[in-house]
Amino acid sequence: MKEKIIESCKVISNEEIFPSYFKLIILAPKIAKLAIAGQFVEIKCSSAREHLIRRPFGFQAIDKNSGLISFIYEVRGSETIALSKSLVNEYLSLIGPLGNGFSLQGKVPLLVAGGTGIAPLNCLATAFAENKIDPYFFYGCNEYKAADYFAKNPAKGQFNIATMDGSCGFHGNVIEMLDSVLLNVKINFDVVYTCGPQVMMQKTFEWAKKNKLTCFVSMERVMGCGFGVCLGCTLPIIQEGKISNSCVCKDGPIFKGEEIVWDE
Amino acid sequence: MNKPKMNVKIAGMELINPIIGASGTFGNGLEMEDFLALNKIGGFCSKGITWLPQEGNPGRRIAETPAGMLNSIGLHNMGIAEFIDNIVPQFRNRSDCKLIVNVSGKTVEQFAAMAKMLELPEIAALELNLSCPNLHKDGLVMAADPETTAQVIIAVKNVSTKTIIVKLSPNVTDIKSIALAAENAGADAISLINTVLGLAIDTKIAKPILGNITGGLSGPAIKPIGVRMVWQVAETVKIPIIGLGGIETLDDCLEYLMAGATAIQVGLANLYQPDICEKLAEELETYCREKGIEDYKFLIGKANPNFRGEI
Repeated sequence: MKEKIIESCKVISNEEIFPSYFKLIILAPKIAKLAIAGQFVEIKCSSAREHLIRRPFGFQAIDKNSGLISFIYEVRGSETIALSKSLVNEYLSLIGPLGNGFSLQGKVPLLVAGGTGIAPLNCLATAFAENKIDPYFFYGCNEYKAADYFAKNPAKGQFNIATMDGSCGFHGNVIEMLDSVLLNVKINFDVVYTCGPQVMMQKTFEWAKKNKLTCFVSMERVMGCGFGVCLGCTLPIIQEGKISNSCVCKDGPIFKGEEIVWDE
Repeated sequence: MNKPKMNVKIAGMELINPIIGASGTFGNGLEMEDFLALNKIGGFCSKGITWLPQEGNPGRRIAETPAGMLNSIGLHNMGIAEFIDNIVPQFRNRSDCKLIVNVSGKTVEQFAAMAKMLELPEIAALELNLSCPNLHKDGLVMAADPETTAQVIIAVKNVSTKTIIVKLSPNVTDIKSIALAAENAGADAISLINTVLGLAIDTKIAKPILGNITGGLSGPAIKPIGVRMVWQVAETVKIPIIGLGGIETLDDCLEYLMAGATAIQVGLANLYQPDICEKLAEELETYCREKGIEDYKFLIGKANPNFRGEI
């Protein structure tokens, strides 16, 4: 059976959930059937001949029964501007599922997300919940509108929000929130997953290392193909004491924190 | 009307149709089997192989530009020993797909040594990469010099029984003299063009986008350059030309064929439409059938009054 598919998929909804951030829901039964949390698709955002390269988007939700898959994206360049203009019932070309997803480990997982990094971890939290595991979810963002949306649409598990400006939830960054929560209650996490800005993931990894926990990180790089043929999205990865360039698309996007060269 | 003839022979290599996946955009072939059937296309060129394993360039390697993409991968590859041990055997019982190994040497001797190691039944042809623009900061390539080009070909022909294709760079002053040198040295075919040397700057931080500063431009943006160079070389040499640069539609294939290409390679389009090679092979056949063209080879050089090839 094929592991990756090119599928022409119908847009079910594509709405701005707070300024510059969209939630896209697509009917993609074949891809949904194969996909797991942590994987991604490559979407052809624009049919214009001057814009060729697809863009990668990590699953925010996968519903194998209905065939619906969801994504959250920030509008920040020509391709996401084009994608934000896709209308309901239009068709988009998707390639997926791509990359290696999360492996579900532990009984008391800690999920730490920032910005649009919430999408893959939302998908992971759902996967844990389906396995009768209630993860702890710590989410950090810059301002009220994002926090307010996710407060009203929380991920599965024990969901906590921090904002840098203090307008919603904890006032500070996500690691400060984590430390502050742990002052009051003892939680015996046994694994950590993180996705978000690189600085936040590095801090999360260092926190996990200090607490002797395995930390899985979801890395991001500009990609050419998404399936390992162009070698455009490489990252120096430490394995068995040696550093070598690995593809984020094919060898990742999930790596262990200790494999990353953080101060590259 | 009968099924049009789509097969073509380039020296000893027989292709079922003239559509080939280009090096660096097709992995080592098997990665593409999720998206297409390798036995429905003429063949494919492997990722560029070097003598020793190479880690490629550090930093950001790709940047999208209008109708194209800049890349500076820097020949990131496993090296010839691992390629022969792990990749080549996977094609042992795959006579249905033609493996063309893209070879990149640093010296004439290295090219010859690699060609000797690649005298294996699984391999249909060698494509000598004299034109990777990402190996030096200034983008200098061996293919810029007719004499070096000839020396490499003579050395490889001495040890190899395979079809020898020479991949030429567009980053030269006079493509005709280099193509002629390749033909005179005994090359079986010429493929052109490799990527066009380019540069993009991130104006927000006033720095080049690519870690390597310069990169090779590919995609529809370079197609007119490729068609022009195929045209010029087709006026100059008699050996077959494999045209590439920005091909993504049937019309693009026809342009290259009519300029004088015997076969064509598809590069960048594989990255965003990985079934494209199979689609183009079908579309070219349908085109020939609908137009009453018995053999696609009638299209070769059709627009070029000075076409010298022997088809």
